[in-house]
Amino acid sequence: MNEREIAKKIARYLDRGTAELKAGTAYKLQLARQEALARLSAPRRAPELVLAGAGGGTLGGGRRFFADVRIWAGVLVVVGGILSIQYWQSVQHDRDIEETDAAILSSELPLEAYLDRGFQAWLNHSEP
Amino acid sequence: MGPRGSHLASYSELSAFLAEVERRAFKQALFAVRNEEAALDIVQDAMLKLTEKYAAKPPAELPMLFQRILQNTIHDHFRRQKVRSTWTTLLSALGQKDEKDEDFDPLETLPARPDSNASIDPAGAHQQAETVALIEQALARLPARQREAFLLRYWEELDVAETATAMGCSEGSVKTHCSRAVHALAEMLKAKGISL
Repeated sequence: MNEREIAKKIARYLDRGTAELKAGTAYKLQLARQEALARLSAPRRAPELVLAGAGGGTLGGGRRFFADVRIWAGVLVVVGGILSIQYWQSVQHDRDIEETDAAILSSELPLEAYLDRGFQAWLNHSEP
Repeated sequence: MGPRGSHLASYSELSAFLAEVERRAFKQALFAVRNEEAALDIVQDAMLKLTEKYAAKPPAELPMLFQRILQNTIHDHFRRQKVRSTWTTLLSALGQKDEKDEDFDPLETLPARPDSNASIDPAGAHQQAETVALIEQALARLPARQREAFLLRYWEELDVAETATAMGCSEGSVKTHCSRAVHALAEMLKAKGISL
């Protein structure tokens, strides 16, 4: 018997083993097939997101959907964080300007003094 | 609409194709991972990938594509196992032996097609079942690449070039793996007193 004949005989035995698969296993395989085919007939949503989450998905549509939601949630958190920092910086900047203005306006020195060159020269000269 | 029409045709073809290959795919995964639940997950994953990404392919390309996806999914399974910490791997390895015993559910051992052995006498059926079990054990003991090559080439009946594509290796390697696998299987079965 040559190599191919031996292989074919072994394959026939494997076919017999497959035909006598446990009923429970055969049923689970049928369910898996139906789920895969249901995915085919379901309308496709956001293909770019499915691709982005393809590495993590294993067991069904629900899981992949949540993977997509997690990606979106992450993007939203990052964008929200950047916007919050920008807002805080602008508020802080305005507050600094307000404080400086208030200090100038509330000081006893008249505003015109800051425009007087002689006063600036005197200030520079008088500083230790 | 045009695409909808071709979509329906793909659905029926895919359904028939998956129904035809699902049991062999399960056995292939089982020989590799030796765990029924993991093997079922692998087959389900492979089916999902095929329907999601390759449903529009011509039916003639489906067997090779599915085998390639299946082999990659099996490799992914092993890759994920490697990434896990050592204690998890040890526990799962111990668990596999226990699961085999726990899985012995009398209800689940009922054959899917009770009439498939109607023409065989009980003694012959028992001997045949024993031979099948020994062959499956011998296959599971083969090196992974030899087993892959053997199953793709002689069970799935892919040609050498298709097997090489599915395995991601050269045609020469396929021939070598197949030859070694057949010799190893023949030796193992001979040692168990089984003549084919």
